[in-house]
Amino acid sequence: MNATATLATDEVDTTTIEMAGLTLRTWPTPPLQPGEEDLTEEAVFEFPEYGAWIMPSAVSDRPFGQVRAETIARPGDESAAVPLGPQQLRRPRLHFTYLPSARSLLTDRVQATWNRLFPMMERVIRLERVPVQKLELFGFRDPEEDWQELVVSLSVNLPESEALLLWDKLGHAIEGMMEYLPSYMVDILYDRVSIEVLASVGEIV
Amino acid sequence: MAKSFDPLCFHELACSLADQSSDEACLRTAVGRAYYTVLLIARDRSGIPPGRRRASKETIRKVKKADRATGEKLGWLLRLREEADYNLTPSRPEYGDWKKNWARAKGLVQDILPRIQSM
Repeated sequence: MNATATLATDEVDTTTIEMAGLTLRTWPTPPLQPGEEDLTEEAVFEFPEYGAWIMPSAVSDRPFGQVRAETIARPGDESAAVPLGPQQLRRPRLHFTYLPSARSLLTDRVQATWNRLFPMMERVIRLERVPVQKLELFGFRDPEEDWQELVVSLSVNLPESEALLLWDKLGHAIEGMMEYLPSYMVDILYDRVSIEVLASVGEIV
Repeated sequence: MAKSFDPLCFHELACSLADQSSDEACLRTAVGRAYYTVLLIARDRSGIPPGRRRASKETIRKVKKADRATGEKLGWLLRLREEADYNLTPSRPEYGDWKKNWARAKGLVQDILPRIQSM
């Protein structure tokens, strides 16, 4: 009996084929064409351990439609999980403190000038990634010449040499900003407002 | 014509005082001399006569106009000098350590002196 059958090799074994008097003919597997997927290899599915699964809470206390933003810890890095509220997605604002001696110097015009100066300082500080320790405003009175000014004191966690460079950068930024300010603000920046940058790390020279 | 005094001599005196002793009186005095080194050179360069009312403030203003940061640094030296000469207790916590104050003042003078001399 001569018969020809086309069988997949995993459907019958060679003994069965011999007993049936069949001839096993095989063809070489054609090469994969572009876009084709090789399915001959056994697929392996890897499931994470049960304890690592993140299960959504069945009951939510947030109003319908409100998006929740949060960070999820990577395995082995549990301490990195810090919940993020919507307000924390924005960069935190730079904070400053008015010391009591500054209050009497903050006239409307000086306050308006500070309102222009502060965002510029904030921009430079962010751009330069300055580690700010504190930003304070205090009043200084010269006992010999009898004049007063508002001092903007920026303390930074930088070595002294880098603090001096930052001071220069702030100076250049103020000079650039003054071109666009009304003349009364320019006068205030020359006569009634000073800026200092104090390093809190390391010593000079 | 009498020979004019070179304010850099004040700076030399300030450094030798601070090198000799870390006594607070020496360091306070050194800070004052360091400030006057820079102020006198700046005032001379700015053409401000010594007897003018508020000569220090006017000098700092002129330096600020030429180079804002240098003027600000000179202003800081003035505040520290007045802290040294007038306040028995620190008016701000930042001024409490006179070794640190002197080190900062010395660094600032080295930073701004060449700029003021070239104005």
